[in-house]
Amino acid sequence: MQDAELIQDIQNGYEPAFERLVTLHKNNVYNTVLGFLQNEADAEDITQDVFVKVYQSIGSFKGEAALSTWLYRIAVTQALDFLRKKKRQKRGGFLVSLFHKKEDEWEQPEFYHPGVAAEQKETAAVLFKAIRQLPEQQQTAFLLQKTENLNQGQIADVMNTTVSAVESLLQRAKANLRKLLEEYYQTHYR
Amino acid sequence: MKEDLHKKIEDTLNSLDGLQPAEANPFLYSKIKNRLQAPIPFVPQSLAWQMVIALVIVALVNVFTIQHVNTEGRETTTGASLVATEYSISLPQIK
Repeated sequence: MQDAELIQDIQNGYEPAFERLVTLHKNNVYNTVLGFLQNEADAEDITQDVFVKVYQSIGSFKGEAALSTWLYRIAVTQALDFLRKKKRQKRGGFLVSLFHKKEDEWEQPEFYHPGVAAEQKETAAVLFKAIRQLPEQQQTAFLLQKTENLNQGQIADVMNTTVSAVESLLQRAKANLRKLLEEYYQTHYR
Repeated sequence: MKEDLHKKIEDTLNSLDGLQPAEANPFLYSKIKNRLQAPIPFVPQSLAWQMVIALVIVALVNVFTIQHVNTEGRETTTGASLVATEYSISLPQIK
């Protein structure tokens, strides 16, 4: 079934079509959200939120972007919103935020992605901690490339930007990650 | 030493290469369905309009009352002054 047909059926209130959409895209949405949230329970909740939002706003979907692009956009937005909210709650207030140190990010619990090979588990956990410290745009480009294996054109579509902008974001993300990892390994492995 | 560090960083940067996608909960659809079927507080459109009209009426009544009270207040003061002048008495000053 083509995307357009599937969307048309959902817009007409045909429930099995929505079930099919969830079945087809749930792993991509979950995997994307998991990369940002680095917590399986939170990722499951946000994945549900994404599909509830999809169901509620499918009427306004004009088909200007591919269905998968639209789903990735919603998933990224929901994940980033959740992280912003969590950060605000964590900081608690102005005074606490004044004393919030960068080192705190390294003290966070490790996240072991279920899809990482056993021998890379520890290094991937360090990388995920470093990813958390990247600016949102760089984080998004890097995660879409690494966890969803999207090419630069697909990332540009999801982020609603140009391929050259994505290329630059990825370069900056890697440079920042190298700096963060150097800092981490110099302080943790002497 | 520096080469070791450089290698460690590069290995870490490449540690997500070949990542297998994580799989969502197999019961995800049932959970989404339950959430979609949960009763949502529904306000019919007609009731929403009635509430807007009621609010506008309350606002108009408030404006009218404020203007009316102010005018009456001024009239009362003028009336009292006339009586005081006629009977040659002084009115207490309101501070």
